Amino acid sequence: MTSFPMMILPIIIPVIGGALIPFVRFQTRRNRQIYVLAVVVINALITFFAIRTVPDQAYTLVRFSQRLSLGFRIDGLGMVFGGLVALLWPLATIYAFEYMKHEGRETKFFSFYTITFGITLGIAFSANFLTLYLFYELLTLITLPLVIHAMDEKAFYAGKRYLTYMIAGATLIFIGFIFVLNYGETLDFVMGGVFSPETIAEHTEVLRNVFLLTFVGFGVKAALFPFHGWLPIASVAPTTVTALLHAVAVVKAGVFAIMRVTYYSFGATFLQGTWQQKVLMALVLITILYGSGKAYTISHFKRRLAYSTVSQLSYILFGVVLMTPLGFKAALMYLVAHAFMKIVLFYCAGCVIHTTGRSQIELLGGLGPKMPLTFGCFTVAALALMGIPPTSGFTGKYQLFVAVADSGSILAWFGLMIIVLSVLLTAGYIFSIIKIAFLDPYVECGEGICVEPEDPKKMMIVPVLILTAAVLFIGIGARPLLLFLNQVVGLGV
Amino acid sequence: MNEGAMLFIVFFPFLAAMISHLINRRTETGRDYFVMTVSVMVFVAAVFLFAQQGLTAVPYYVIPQICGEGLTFKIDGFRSLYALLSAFTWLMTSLLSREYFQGANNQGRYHFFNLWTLGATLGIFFSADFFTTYFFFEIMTFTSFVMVINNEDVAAQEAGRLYLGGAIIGGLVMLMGINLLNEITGTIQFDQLVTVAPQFVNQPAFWVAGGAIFFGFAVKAGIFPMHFWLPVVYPAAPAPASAILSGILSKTGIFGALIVSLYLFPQQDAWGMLVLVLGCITMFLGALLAVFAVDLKRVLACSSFSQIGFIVLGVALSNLMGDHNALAVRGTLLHMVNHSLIKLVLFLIAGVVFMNLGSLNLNDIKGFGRGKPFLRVVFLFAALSVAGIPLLSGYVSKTLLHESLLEHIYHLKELGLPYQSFKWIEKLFKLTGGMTFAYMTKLYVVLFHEGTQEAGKASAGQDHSYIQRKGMVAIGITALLLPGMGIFTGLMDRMAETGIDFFHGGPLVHAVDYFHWVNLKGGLITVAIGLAVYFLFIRLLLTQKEGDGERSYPSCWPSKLDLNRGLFQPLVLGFLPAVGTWIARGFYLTGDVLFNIPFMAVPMAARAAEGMYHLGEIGMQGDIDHAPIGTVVEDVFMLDEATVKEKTGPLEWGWKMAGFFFNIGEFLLTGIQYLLYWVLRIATKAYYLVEDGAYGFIKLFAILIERLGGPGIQHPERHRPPIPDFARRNGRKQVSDEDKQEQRQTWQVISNSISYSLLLFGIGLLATMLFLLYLR
Repeated sequence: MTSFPMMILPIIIPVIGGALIPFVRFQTRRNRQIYVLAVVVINALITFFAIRTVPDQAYTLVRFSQRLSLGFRIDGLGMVFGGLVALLWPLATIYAFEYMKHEGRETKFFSFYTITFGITLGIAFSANFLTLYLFYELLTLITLPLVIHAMDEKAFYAGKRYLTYMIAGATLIFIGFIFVLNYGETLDFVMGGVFSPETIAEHTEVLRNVFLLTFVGFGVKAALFPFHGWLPIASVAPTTVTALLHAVAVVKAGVFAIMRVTYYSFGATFLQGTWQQKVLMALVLITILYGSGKAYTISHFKRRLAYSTVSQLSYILFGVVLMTPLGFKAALMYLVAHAFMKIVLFYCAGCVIHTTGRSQIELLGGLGPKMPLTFGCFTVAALALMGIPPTSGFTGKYQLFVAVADSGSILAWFGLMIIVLSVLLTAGYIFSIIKIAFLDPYVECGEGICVEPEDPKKMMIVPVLILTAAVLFIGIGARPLLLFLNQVVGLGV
Repeated sequence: MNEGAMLFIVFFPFLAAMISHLINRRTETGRDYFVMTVSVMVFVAAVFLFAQQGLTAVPYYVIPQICGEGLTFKIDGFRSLYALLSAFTWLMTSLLSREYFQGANNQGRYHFFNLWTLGATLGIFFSADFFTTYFFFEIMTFTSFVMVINNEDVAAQEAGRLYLGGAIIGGLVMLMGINLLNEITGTIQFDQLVTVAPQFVNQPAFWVAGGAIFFGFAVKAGIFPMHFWLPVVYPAAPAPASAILSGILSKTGIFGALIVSLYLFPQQDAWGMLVLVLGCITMFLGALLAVFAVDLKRVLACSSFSQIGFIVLGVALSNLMGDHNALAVRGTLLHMVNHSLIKLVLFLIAGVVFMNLGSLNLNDIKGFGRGKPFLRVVFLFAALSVAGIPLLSGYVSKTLLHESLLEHIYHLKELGLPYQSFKWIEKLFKLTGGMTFAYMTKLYVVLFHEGTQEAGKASAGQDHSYIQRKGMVAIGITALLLPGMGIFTGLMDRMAETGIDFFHGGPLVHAVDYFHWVNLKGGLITVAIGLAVYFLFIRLLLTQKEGDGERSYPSCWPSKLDLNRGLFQPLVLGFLPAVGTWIARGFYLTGDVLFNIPFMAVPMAARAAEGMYHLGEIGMQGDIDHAPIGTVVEDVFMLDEATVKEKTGPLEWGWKMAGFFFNIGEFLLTGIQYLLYWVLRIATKAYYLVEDGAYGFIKLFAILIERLGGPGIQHPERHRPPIPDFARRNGRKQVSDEDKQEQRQTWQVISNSISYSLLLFGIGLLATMLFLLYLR
């Protein structure tokens, strides 16, 4: 409170910086790019600085009433999510510069794209439920223009679906918000929950039911079955949007919020072994199987990846609903791992679409040798998705297995078997792409895609290479991260 | 120092692979020499380690950072011995592969993954806990997969599918087992497990964990019944890769089987007997398949399968015999080593045959070896060694295994326990040994005796050499090791001593005199059985005399006895999908109904609201020309525009005429309509459910009957209109565009209204909750 609240800066800078873009008259495209990159990079640096230096205490920006306030705080969980976002955003921006050239409407795009950065960090650093709710809603609204970027029939349809799902989810979250406000000791996030033992004793069942609703409400963003419908449809958006927003920022914001309410508002111990937990676990497991099964049947490159995201997100949620510290840790590990590998997969798909215009998987035949870097990165990320050591996916899955073994419940073991099944499906849908790209004969171009395929320009491929290196690095050098996560989830060092 | 050498061995190949990839862009020759150099360097380091073993002060080496859990390595005699053997195998295969792959595509890729496989394999052999083993095991699986599919032809792709499917299931089951084990015992380090395992051995979960881990390794080793991929994959891979797969990679599976049997379940008779039975079946089935096989590499693959059975038998005996397992342990270890070397020679010879003739079918390669004394000698060394003929290395290990079997029978007799079954196993052991001799004789006769003199010359290359010097050196050196070790048995004894720590072998009570008459007699009996099998079975029943006096080798193995095609494929591709479809349709039906019932209410509510509004409007002005609220609602909540238009027509005059009552009627009608629709829908679904189940079973039986050589059933063609419901409802058999459109619109309305109902649902819940709050 005494010093200047550093954590407000990274939220405000991109919002202002992004909002200015349409009003500043840039002479050339290059100037605008430099401006956007400067905002994003500076903001990322400030974020890292804030994470490193700001002490773990709440800062209240506005106080509405005794209990309602707008406050920020950087704690362990926020550090993980905020750091992740700040790490990915500059790279994604560089990729977007090249990619967006053929999509058009760049001014509008970069404006909202930059604002989203700040809003996402707002979610990461929010100190209480109200702030989280506010930024969560803002994220929905601010990403809508990105989803309908193409401005055609399909994009509008996707936008409508997106908006309706999100608002419907938010109503459920609001119920949870009211209950935490009414029954909780405080609206702030406190590890272990905010309900006093007396409250819990008095209203056990109703609180658990409300938790169920809140989880499902946030689950809309995390693409929990049966509310996953918006995600594959929203893949009509440009690849940069699909990759960063729908594989990383938006869906991860949903997962992040679920972690917040589960472990910091309602409290995990209070939910262990209840039928509500079982219902959620069942939902999560259905999503895992459904997503990977559906991905198997789809031949559109990006949509297959979108369904893969549906399935993979529920791996994270599976860790969350174990309701144990180890489960939480596994979920966080997988969250980080998945962010990197999925962004690589999407970006490789983007490279293919950008350079060759091919979006159906059958048309990828023989592209592997012609685009070695793209498909090399794709293969590494695909192996990570399948959980092959030493990639990050393996580390994440291993933590998940450890958490399940630790929880020891029968349903969790059953869930593990479902995960095994899902990994088999994953191997099927992702390996078939690699097989087609590397082993099948080259597909001669049909109408309108007569471009000799080659690796895209440096601006696009370099971020992908860096991210691929990160996929490997997070797998091999996971130790410090895992130790840090131990602290976050309260397992001690 | 030792740690450094070990780390070099494990991680240098990974680095070298990348360098080789870079070199490959410039020059292929350079890359080949680089790969050879890498093999030599690893080999030298392995020799160093092997010479130093026992001198390491701290046997463990931990790299804590990697993948969170950290990798743990251990250096001991057995591990460095196998590192040595692996490096040797890679060196020899790389010597031949330059020649073998001449002119082939994908060489750069092959060598890249070849070196990665080397590193991963060495990582497995040096691992000291299950995490490390698993870590390298999975890497090895995927890198060797690329080697398997190197030819990219149909056979290779089929093989790749089987290999990958088996490997993924095996790997994940193993991972589950490892985690369960960790949860039960609190450790996954091998040496700690030995001490703590006896406390947990009464828990069923411990057995589940051990079984799961064993399963994963058994897939890789090819132990029955997880061998299904083996006879397909080995022949499909290029010869140097087959040599590596058979010689070394299968031993990684055995490595795991050893850990599970000797570290988790030491002296557990139930476990030992299980492994013993699997080993016996593997041993015999492999030999039987090899007797029938008519493809050079398939014979060798089945032979590998059979020899793995011998090794597993040894593992089981090492487990069963407890403190008296000195002989069994030595036999197992030596047989592993022998098999690695022998298969290296044989697969390289197969490679030589293939690169000269382009075929491996026994009928095509007749007489290839005529006039090639070098080939004849090396083949004889390897063939006789695997058959267990005295003065060759295979004899020593087989004698040890046989001796330990006899010793176990003796112990059982002494303790007054039933031992009859072991007598039968001993007989089976001899019979299988004889069969080994028989199928090797078959190969020898085909290659060196049948065919014409011209066959031997015609196959010579352009420069009149069928093999270059490097390949000759590779095969020659390896082949010379076999008689060398067989004659100087002291060498083998000393080699066996190095592995004792790893195996927890007991002390050797008395040395075995390999050239004692009793043991030599065993060898002679094997030969006699082998000759009998060859002349009475293979010659008489499995060959045909052609018109020109030549023998031909038709494929006599009944294809329906193929475990893969006879059981696994119908099971996995026929039966399970049928059952799965059945179950899924059941779920789908239930889910569909449950999920959609709430949404029926939405159109009803919308119509009711619309009606009410208009009632008010009529009352006020009697005019409803402007947009009705229903349209607004539908617009907002994305109800399909076309549907809305369609509805306004009849409803408009309806409201004008009937007002309030009509609306009630409309409301009810909608309900009834929907109810009828759903009844119809459920009925159709139920019909399909039954049909699917029936279809699945019919298909299963058809497959089974076909496999059993029955008349064969015409598979019933499925005639299912893509969108049946509406066609049927509209009384048409064919599906028209109209039906499709109607169906699409209806589904759109239903799916769009999901979001609307969610909103209503949310608001309703909110109201309820607030009500509850204030009621309290």
